Amino acid sequence: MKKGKVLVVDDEVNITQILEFSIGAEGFEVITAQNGEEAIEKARREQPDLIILDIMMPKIDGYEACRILKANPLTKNIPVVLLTAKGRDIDRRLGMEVGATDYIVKPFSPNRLVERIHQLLSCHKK
Amino acid sequence: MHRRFSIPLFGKSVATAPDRPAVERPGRELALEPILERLSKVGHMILNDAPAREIFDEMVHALAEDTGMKLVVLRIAKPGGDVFEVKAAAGLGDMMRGPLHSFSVGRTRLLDLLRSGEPFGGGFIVGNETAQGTAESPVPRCIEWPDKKALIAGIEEDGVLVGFFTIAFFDATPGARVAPLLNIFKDRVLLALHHDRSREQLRDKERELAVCKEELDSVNQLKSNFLSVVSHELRTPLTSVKAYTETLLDNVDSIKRETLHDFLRVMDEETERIIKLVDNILNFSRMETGHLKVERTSCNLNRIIEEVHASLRAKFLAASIDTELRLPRHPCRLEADQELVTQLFQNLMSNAVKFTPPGGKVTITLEEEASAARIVVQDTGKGIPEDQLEKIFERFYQVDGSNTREHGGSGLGLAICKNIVDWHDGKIWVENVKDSGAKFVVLLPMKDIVVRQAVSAGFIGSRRFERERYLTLLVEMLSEFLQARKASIMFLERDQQILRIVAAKGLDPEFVQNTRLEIGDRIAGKVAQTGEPLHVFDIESDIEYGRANNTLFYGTRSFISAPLRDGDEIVGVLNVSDHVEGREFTRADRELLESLGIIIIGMLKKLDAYEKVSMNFEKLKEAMRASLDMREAWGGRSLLNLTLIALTVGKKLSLDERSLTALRLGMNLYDLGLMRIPRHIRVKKEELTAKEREVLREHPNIGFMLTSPMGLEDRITKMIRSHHEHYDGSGYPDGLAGVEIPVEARIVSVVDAFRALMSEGPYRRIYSLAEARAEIERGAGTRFDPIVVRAFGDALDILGAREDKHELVLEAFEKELERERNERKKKLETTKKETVKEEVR
Repeated sequence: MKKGKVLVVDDEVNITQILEFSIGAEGFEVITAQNGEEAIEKARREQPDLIILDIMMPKIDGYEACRILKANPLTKNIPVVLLTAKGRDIDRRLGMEVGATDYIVKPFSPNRLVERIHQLLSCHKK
Repeated sequence: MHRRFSIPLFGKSVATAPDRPAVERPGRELALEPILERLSKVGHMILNDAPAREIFDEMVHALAEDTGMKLVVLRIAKPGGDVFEVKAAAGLGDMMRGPLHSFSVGRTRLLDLLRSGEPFGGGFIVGNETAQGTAESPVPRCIEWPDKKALIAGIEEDGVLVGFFTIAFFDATPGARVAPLLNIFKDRVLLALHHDRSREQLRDKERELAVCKEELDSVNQLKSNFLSVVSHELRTPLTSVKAYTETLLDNVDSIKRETLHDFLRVMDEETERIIKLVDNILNFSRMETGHLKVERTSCNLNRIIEEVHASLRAKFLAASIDTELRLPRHPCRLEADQELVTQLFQNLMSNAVKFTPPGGKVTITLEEEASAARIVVQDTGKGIPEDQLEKIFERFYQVDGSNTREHGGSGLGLAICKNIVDWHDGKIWVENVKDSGAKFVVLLPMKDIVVRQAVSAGFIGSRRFERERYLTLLVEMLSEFLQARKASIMFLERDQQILRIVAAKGLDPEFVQNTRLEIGDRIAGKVAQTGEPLHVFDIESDIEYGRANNTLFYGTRSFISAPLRDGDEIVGVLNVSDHVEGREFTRADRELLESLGIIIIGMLKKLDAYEKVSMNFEKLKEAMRASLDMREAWGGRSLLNLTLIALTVGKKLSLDERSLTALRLGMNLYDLGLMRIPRHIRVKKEELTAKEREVLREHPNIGFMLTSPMGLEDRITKMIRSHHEHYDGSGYPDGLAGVEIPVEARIVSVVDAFRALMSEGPYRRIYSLAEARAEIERGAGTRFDPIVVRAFGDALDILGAREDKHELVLEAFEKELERERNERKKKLETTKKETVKEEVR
């Protein structure tokens, strides 16, 4: 039995691949998307328990994708973790404004990300 | 015959002026108080920065109302011209303002009149008796005062006429106090003008500052863009490296071999990405700050392109992009920094990959042009928005800088390309190809100019830089004009009597730095010693000079060294060698080199005298190109023949050395303006339409404009301007007549007509030598100066002009060449014999 389903969105295949590996190793089911558009569609269809979302992506960027997810009743309750290279305070604040649950700056530690996922999912389930 | 002003007539009128009782008879005295009051008001206005217009208005009214001068007009010269504008007028009814137009008057001439006459307070009196009823009025129309006498009072500043008052007294006569009073007013005018100018300058400065600020703001904007872009670009690969490393460490025992391999490959690739980016940034900042060391070696562009292409093959494949290399069969070589050029091609090609969709194609073309290598990288992407074609070479600039951009990159790639190209004095630009992507074009000049600043010259800062730019340009000019692969300019260091190379093209930089020749030493030293040019046609058969050969001329068979003269003094030497076509330099080339020496000295002297040399590099280059075209159109040989004829005519007329020099140089330049005339008009066989004729008639003036910035002697530029004037005044552009036309231009006019007659022309056949000569003689007195025509006939006889297969041959010159050739041969044989003797011994 899987612990939960995580959608990982990043246009860098290397990132989705390593997250798939490390999050998957913790017993989560991992699905991936390469851009905001695909992310929204998969979130709707797959109803993941958590979304890890990059910001700088082609087509629809992370902020916009997050806003759209939060505006849709089907997806608005899924916690979103922004995972981005944009490290300035203003970027973080903007992330919070569009409804992200957390904001993690790249480069990041996969271990800590996995810990965070555990935390978020357990408290979310409660 | 129409003439604008004639000095003699006016001189007469001025000469008679003192006899006129009106000037000497004391007139009405002035009441001082009102005038002083008005003057003080004017002073206040100036202090309070009132506009000059208002001040002038106040002044003319003060004069008109409080002095008995009934009509007062103030005219001020427009900057940089001879047009005097009416700035203020008083005492005139509206009816009379009409004729007060601004007019053009020879500033110097007016000033001369004001000075030579000076019958009254720095002005002169004109009256209707002077001008009435004569068509040849000496006085500019506006100065004439209908039915009345008027005083013209010039306002001078540092010997330049900046304006003048025209004052009419009606029947009253100016009194003794008028002159000093007018002087005060003139000073006020100057003061007001000064104020106005300072204000204008201040405004300019403010504008400049505003522009500066704008630029700074946009640089700042770019900088913060850069920071965010670069931080993203750096963090992305770092993120991968960090994530993969950590994951690997955690799973080091359990990880599958296959996955391990996969992870390590990602880490390796991403590390590579970081290295490239960091390299780019470092390189770029080094280039920007000028700390980059460019090491020029002979590069094989074919090979560099092939190598870069091979290194990117994986990328092309991964993106399913097809590539095509179009390289010339012979390797294209140029002096460049191998590493930088490699990076240039790498950036351009990676860029093309990035912006080309899968299934697209990237074509890389290399072509060798006359003096540059052209590299074109063309993709089939979506092109670049027209308004951003130039911006994309700015640093940190990205067409798409948004969060959703599809393409990574620091925004430095193209800026680096631009820098690299700049370092090589090349050009880079981008064009959109209709319906199919963008085309990046790079021109890398195949030149290698070394400038070594003369040690003796104590130039500072920008001036030194400016001088270097000039030297670069001059040496390029030598090489372009003479089609020489190698060219150098040497200066004589006076205190040491040593020749050093100050600028060179095609020579090893170290050689340029270290070469020092004593007077009399080797070829250049000999030229500096004797002041005679040395022209070696073929060095292998030329033992005398061949022995003196050194690395400067290594590998060449033909070269010319000519002295650089400043007046009678020899100040340096010009050298050219290695004709691009591999042929020997001709006599015409030698003449040209000597002429260029005059241009070079003229420009450098201007520069050294801290004079502002208003030379526009682009313009000069354009002029150079045009001159080349012209030489091509005529063929070097006939041009030389014509120059010889012109010089012989000059000598026949006992012209001095300077005129002859001007003539020689001018013969190379006089039709320069023709090159700006559309080709279809230049070569049209049928009769020209009126409109076309008008266009064609512009060419002397265009030539004049092209050559004016070169710092040539006036007589040369004037000769170019006036070579289509006719002796009887019916020519163009100025309608000069007789001796008004510079003598050099009168000579060129004949020689040029002769050339035209003997070549194919509009709706007529080619004339034979005899016919052309007869035609010229027919024009004596109307089109041509009869004296010049006579000297021209003599010159043809002296030079032994004859025709050979429709070509003009100058017997005397041919003989001279033959003699030179024989002498060289003899010398060669003697030397050989001596060598044999030595060997026998």
